Amino acid sequence: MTTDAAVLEVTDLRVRLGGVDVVDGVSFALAAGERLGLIGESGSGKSLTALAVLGLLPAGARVTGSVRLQGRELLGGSDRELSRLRGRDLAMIFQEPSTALNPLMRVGRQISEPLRLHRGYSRQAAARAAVELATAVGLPDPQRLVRSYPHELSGGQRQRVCIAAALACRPALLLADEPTTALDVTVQAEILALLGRLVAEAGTALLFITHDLAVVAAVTRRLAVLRRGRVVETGATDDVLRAPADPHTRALLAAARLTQWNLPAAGSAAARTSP
Amino acid sequence: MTAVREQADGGATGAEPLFEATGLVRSYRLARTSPFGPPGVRHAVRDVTLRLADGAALGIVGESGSGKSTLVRLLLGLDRPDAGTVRYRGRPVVAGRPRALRWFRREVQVVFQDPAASLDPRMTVGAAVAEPLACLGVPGDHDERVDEVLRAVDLDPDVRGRYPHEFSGGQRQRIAIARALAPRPRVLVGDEPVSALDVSVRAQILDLLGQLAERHRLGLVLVSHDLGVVARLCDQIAVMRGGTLVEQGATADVLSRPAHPYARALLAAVPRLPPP
Ligand SMILES: Nc1ncnc2c1ncn2[C@@H]1O[C@H](COP(=O)(O)OP(=O)(O)OP(=O)(O)O)[C@@H](O)[C@H]1O
Ligand SMILES: Nc1ncnc2c1ncn2[C@@H]1O[C@H](COP(=O)(O)OP(=O)(O)OP(=O)(O)O)[C@@H](O)[C@H]1O
Ligand SMILES: [Mg+2]
Ligand SMILES: [Mg+2]
Repeated sequence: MTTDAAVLEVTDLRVRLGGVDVVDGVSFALAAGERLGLIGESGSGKSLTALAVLGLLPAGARVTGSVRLQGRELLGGSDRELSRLRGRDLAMIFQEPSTALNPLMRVGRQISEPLRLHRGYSRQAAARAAVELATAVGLPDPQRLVRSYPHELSGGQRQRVCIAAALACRPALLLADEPTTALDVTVQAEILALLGRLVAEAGTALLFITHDLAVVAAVTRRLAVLRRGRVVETGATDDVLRAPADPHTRALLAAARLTQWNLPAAGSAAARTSP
Repeated sequence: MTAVREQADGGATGAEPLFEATGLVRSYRLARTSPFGPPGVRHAVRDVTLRLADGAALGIVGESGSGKSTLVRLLLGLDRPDAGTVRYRGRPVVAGRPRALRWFRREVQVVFQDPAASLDPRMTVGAAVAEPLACLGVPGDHDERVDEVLRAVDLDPDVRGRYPHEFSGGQRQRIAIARALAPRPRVLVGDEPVSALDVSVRAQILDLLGQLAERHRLGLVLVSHDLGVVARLCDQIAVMRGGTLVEQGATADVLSRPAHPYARALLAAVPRLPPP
């Protein structure tokens, strides 16, 4: 998979924490406009893989291997170099939005911060952009909402603030870690469509981490399954979900089908209005 | 897991509802958009009335920002309504001094939407799970109980000495669930309690809650955007939008014949797995 077109190339990535290789030799590549899903059981190393790419691993983590963004090696790079890229060329939607937001800063400023830092937006231009981005992620009453602090928003609204901030600079690489877990399905559908447009229009490469297999089926074309820090299965999303080769992937799918809400019998109102 | 509520059972009286919320209203004042404009008001919850029978399970679904978490905070006495009342087994639940609601906290435990809100980062997992046992003066061997609930949520009891930040998102959420179940509550209120869990752990936790509900009449109030969770655990469902309950009823009825257009849109938007 070594092509010059690769936006992201991760090779033999290892993250050691507390004496354990919590990421244990992970390799994958992502081309411009490509959407790769990363699934796997809780604690399998999905978030740490994304954080390693971003250079934001917890203190005490030891990392080896290679992470190349548009050909440039990121591992071992200086903090200054990395923070210049973060928010501009690569952005992440974090799994827990409330920990990603600054409680003392109005959300509008947090949304437009990347534009001021990396694109030289004036205060006024950034304020206008914040309202536009808030509107794009479906936040209600955006003019007023941008003036709120994070604690004044609902969980799903906070998550959408993080999404807006990550999309602000139309990054070459977007790492989305459970980006819609706090959203109801109607808002989720809008956000997924928005991410789809970003990928199509800006050629953003998308790494999409989720435990929702129906969502991963809708969003991604390729899939990698992690277990205990290793990739145990990769392939076209449809193929993996239809006929998983790895027994653990099979178990995951069986559980998903079991807990999925099933349409009531045909003929009822719900069955008629469903796609 | 073993009996979750044996000591909370005393004094239960038959038909009286556990929770009774009447005419709840909560609004927030908002920043002005201009120095001369009026301050705005956001009606987070407007005129919500609901009842939960003993041992019943209520699912609350609805749009992001529709007021679900606000309603939950009002039910728990963590916030004061502008109007309306909450009663638990006939006694008023009024936000105020924490000591005054101790009787209530012994019976009603909560898992918040954001695990960070349930867990103190400076407290080890063992201490966090044991804390409600100590605070509420629950009798019995606390160490043993901590191990038991950790195992019930599929965590190795050996993790007791570690801190919350050393865990993955789904592991943290399970720690919060273990902490809430530790004192054997009579009612568990969960705000998206399983949203961060992978499907197999989720199935296991749903089984656990289902068993507790069935065998020990654990009451449930679950906010969830996952209709699979609600369909599986909750006999009652309430659909919330713009601060009001737009539809309420038996889960099977509402899911098979949703009356309100928003409820229909919600059902139609559920993403589906491709068939095997
Ligand atoms: N700071 C840390 N110190 C020690 N171990 C850690 C630390 N952070 C995470 N881990 C461990 O690393 C493993 C992988 O964590 P990671 O957060 O990547 O999981 P995940 O796949 O994202 O899971 P989830 O679906 O629950 O979010 C977990 O077993 C976790 O306990
Ligand atoms: N402290 C506050 N100050 C101002 N507005 C608030 C405050 N807390 C909540 N709100 C607003 O009240 C409304 C209801 O919020 P709530 O958190 O109850 O929604 P929710 O249904 O739980 O949404 P989600 O599914 O996104 O978590 C939202 O519009 C939110 O912005
Ligand atoms: Mg994670
Ligand atoms: Mg909420």
